Amino acid sequence: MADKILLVDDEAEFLKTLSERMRARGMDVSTAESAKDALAKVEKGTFDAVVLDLQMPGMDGLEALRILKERDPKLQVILLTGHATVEKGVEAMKRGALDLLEKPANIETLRQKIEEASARRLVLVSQEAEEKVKDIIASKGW
Amino acid sequence: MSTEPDVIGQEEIRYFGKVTASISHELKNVLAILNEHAGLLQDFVAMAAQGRPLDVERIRQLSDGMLKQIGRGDTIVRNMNRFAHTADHERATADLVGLVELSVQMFGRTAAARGVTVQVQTPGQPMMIATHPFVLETLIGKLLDHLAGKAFGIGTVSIGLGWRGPEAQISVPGLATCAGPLAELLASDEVKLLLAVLDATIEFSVAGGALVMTLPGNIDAGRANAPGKPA
Repeated sequence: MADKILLVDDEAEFLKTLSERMRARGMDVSTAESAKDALAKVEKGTFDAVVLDLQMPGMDGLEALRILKERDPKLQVILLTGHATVEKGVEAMKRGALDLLEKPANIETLRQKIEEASARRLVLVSQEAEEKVKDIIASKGW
Repeated sequence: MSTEPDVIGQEEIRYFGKVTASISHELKNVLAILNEHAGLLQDFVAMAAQGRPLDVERIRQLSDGMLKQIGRGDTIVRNMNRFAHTADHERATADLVGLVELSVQMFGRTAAARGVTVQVQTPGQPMMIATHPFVLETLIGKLLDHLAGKAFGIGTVSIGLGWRGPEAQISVPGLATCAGPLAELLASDEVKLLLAVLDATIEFSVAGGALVMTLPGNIDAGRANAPGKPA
């Protein structure tokens, strides 16, 4: 099954072309032009990974990352930025980002990172399901 | 202990650094778009090699998009060059309208990232003043950074320019929501020093929420002369 990706960037041209390239590589891509729009889309759908621009008008990527991870700690977020300062990189990792890639990003690097994100999410979802089954077994006394 | 020239130099370097960071970020965005467009063209070539027909209309759109981004990048670099050259001469006769517009262009992305739009209401003709162009750019940048940097709820900062007798004025209305923090900034030693170098004054009307900066038309002659003032 294709990885479900949400690509978030305020540069419409970038969004359109990169999403086209990602789809050509077998990914199921949705797009959002703002952090607010991204939060609304994540609320409605399930994604394997969110590729998020760090600097956007209004709510920036770090704040969006904080909210996304608060709502769903299993969701994997890859930040994409023009320039990453050490401080922002450290902050992004503290807030649970999988990685921080610099623009212009190599499509193969991005694809590998998305595969890593998807695999990590799958492990977390499986672990959660396993815990739930264990709880059910324990509660039933089986 | 820092001397006055040290403080001014530090403020100038800080502003230069901030602007350069913002410009380089914007250029990176331009490069990122060009990278994706070129990458998609490569994808099309690879697909064509496997027998898939080329979508000529999509290729035209991509080349148009690339030309648009090259134009955008060129404008950014031109503005950056103009900005860098404002530091060439300690004192110079310069167009105040152009200086303010340049400051706003340099600061545009940073402000936009914070959800603030900055507009300049130009008088429709140049306003030539003899001043310290880079110190003035630094002061305007510091004020804009402050106004756009805090959560004052200002969606649009509108800058007006005009003459009052021989003096040039830069006015910014609609700042009532940030009266306290703005008054604090204006009382800072850094702003006071920058104003002193420019022989300028700033008045802030708490009631009306308007900021007015007054600059001499000719800094060398004091406040009595304005070389570029229209007759």
